[in-house]
Amino acid sequence: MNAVRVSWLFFKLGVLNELQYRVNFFVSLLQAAIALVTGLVVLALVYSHTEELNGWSKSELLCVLGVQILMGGAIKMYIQPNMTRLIEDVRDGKLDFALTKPEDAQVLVSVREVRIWQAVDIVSGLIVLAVGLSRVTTSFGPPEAAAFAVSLMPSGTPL
Amino acid sequence: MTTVVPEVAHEGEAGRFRSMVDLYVTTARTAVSQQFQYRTANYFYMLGMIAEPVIYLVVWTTIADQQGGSVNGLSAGYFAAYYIVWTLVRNMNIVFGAPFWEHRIREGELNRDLLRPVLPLHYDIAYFAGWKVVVIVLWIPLAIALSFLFDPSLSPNVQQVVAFGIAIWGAYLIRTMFQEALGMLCFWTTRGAAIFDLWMTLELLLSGRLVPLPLMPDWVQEISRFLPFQWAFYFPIETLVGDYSNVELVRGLLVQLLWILIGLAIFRVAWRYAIRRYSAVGG
Repeated sequence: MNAVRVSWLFFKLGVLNELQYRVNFFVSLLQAAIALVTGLVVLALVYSHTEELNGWSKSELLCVLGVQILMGGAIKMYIQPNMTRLIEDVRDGKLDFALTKPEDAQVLVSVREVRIWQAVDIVSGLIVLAVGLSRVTTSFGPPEAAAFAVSLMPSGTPL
Repeated sequence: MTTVVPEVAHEGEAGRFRSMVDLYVTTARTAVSQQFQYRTANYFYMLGMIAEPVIYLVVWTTIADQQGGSVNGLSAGYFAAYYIVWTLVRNMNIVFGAPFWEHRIREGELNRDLLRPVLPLHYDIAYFAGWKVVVIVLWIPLAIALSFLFDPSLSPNVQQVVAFGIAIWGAYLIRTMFQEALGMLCFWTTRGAAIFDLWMTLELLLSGRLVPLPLMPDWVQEISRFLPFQWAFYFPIETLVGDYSNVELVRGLLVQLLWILIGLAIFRVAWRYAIRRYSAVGG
C-alpha cells in the first residue's frame, strides 16, 4: 500500500514539474502528429499495392498501429524515463540517494520520473484504435474488449 | 643568431593541407581503436537496427508472393538484395546527428571545440569515418547470415561494385552535411526535436529507406528527384542492386558530389550566423 502512495506522490511531483514547460505540450502534439501521419502513409503505401497482407486487412493493421502508438506513449511516458534515470544514476553514483531512503528501492527507481506530455501519444493511439475498430468487419463485444484491456496491463508494466 | 622556424610555416598551403590530412588520419585511427574496444556494444546496436529492414523485407516479400512473385516488376529476390544492402547503407548513414548539437552546446563541449584551430565539422567527419571502418567489418558476417535467410538476387558487375564503394562514402558525406546544417538550429532553439522528427519523416518517405522509390506514387518520385535524400539511400543501394549503366553510375556519383557541396555551403552559412549567437560559460 505504501508503494502505491509513494508512486502517487512521485506522479504528482512529476506532473507539477512538467506543467512548468507548457510549450513541450505543443512540441509533443506536433511530434505525435508527424508519427501518426507517417504510420498512415506507410499503411496506405502498402495497401496501394495489395488488398490484404497475409490475411490482414487495412483496418486490422490500423488497430495494430493504434496499439503500437498507445504502448509507445505509455513506455515513453513512464517506463523509459525511469530506466534511463536508473542507468545514469548508477554511472554517476547518485543511486545511493535512492538506496538509502527507507522505502523499497525497486519501487523508488521505477516511479521517479514521468513525462506527462507523452500522454498525447496514448490519446492519439486510442483514437487510431477506435477508428480501426469501427471499420473492422469481424464482430467483438464487451468480453473481447475486457480481455484486451487486461492484456494491455502486463505489457505496459516492467514486472 | 638564427631562429628556427618550423618547417610547416614555410610550406604555406601545402603544409596546411598536410596537417589537415594528418588530423583526419589521426582522428579516424583513434575512432577505429576506440570503437573496436566497444565491439560488443556496437554489434548489439547493429543487431537492433536490423529489425527495421527485416520488417520491410517481410512485408514486401509477402506482397510479392501473393501477387505471383513480384510487385511493380520488383521480385522477392530484388527486395531481399535491396534491404540487405540497405543495412550497410543505413549504417554508413549514421552521422553526427542534428539533435546532438543540443547536447554539445548544453554540456559546454563546444567551448573546448572552439578553442581548437579547425572547425568541429572536421573532427566529426573524421571520427565517424573511422567508426565506419569498424561498422563495415562488423557488417560482413551479418550480411552473410541475412543472405542465407532471404536468398537475394544480386549480380553486380565490377563497375557497379566500384561505384558502390564510392557511393556509400558519398552517402555518408551528404548526410553528414545536412545533419550538421540542421543541427545549427540548436543555436536558436532548445526545442528542435519536432523539426528533426519532421526531417526524419521526409527522409524516410523520400529517400528509399522505407521502400524502393519505384513503389512510390509518381508525384512523390518527381519531388524526391529534387531533394538530397535519395542520393544517400536509394542511389547507393541501386548502384549494387539495380542495373545502372556506366554513364548513369558516373552521373549519380557527380550528383552526390553536388549535394555534398550544397550541404557544405548551407552549413558554412548557417555556422557563420550560429556562432555569432553563441555565448557560454564553463564546460
